[in-house]
Amino acid sequence: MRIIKRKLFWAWQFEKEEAWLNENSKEGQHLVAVSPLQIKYEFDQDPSKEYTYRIEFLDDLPSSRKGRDYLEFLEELEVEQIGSYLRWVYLRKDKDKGEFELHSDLDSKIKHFKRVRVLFLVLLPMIIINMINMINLFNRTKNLFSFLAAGLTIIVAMLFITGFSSMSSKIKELDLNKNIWE
Amino acid sequence: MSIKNNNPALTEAVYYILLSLLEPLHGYGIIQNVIDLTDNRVDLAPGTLYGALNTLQEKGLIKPYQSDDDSRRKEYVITKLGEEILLTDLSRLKELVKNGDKYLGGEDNEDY
Repeated sequence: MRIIKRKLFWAWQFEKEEAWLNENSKEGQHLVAVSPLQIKYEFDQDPSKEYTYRIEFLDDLPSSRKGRDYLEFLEELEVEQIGSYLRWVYLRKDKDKGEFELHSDLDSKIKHFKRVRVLFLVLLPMIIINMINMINLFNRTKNLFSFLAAGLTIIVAMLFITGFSSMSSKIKELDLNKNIWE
Repeated sequence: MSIKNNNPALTEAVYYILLSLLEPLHGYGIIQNVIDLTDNRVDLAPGTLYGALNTLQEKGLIKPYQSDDDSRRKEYVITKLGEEILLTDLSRLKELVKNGDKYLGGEDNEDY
């Protein structure tokens, strides 16, 4: 029987999202399909199984040549892709087949966080320009529409800044360790 | 500009990948070999291994290996340059161990 759950995770909370999926799997509910735009997660029930889930932000689209090359490599290692959204992929491995981490050294962990951070960074200037325009519009017109539009752009800008600084603090922490370990 | 002079220390993952690729292997083979060599201590994660294999190939330390069986799995093998770099690192590691033993080991501390 298929169960549908709705839960909102922001892009910078992918580790929290992983933890949630793994908890569900421990209880016998295993993610089989995901549509982040509808914040919809679909689970299959099988108490006899347990999977480890990981979420990764790829360098390329999963459908591109490079993306497919990587996903095929993962498949050889018993890692299956159960869904994707833009450059995000949802991966899992049967617990019976061993531990599943995507990155085993600090360097590749840092690279992954940096990739996610760029996502926030490249869009941020555009969002801030948009926000300034909307605030100016509101100052001129003082109507409800421009008030709502300005409010919305402020919220979006704040979300992106949160994402950027969340990734930055993780990177900083790992960088510090990297002075000692690898 | 030689890689040898600029990067004196290989990462643990790269060291063990190169060592494993003295014989042609695919990804799964490398992971298994490193697990065996290190008695389960080093379990290369797929993302890390994939990144390392691509970089090593780009830098000419390993190359794709055409195997006879028609499996789709990509195999790799070390290059001459890769072997040289591995040997350079081995003598660096020997020095580390020698000096570590000298300061921490000693005769009263044989089992360290």
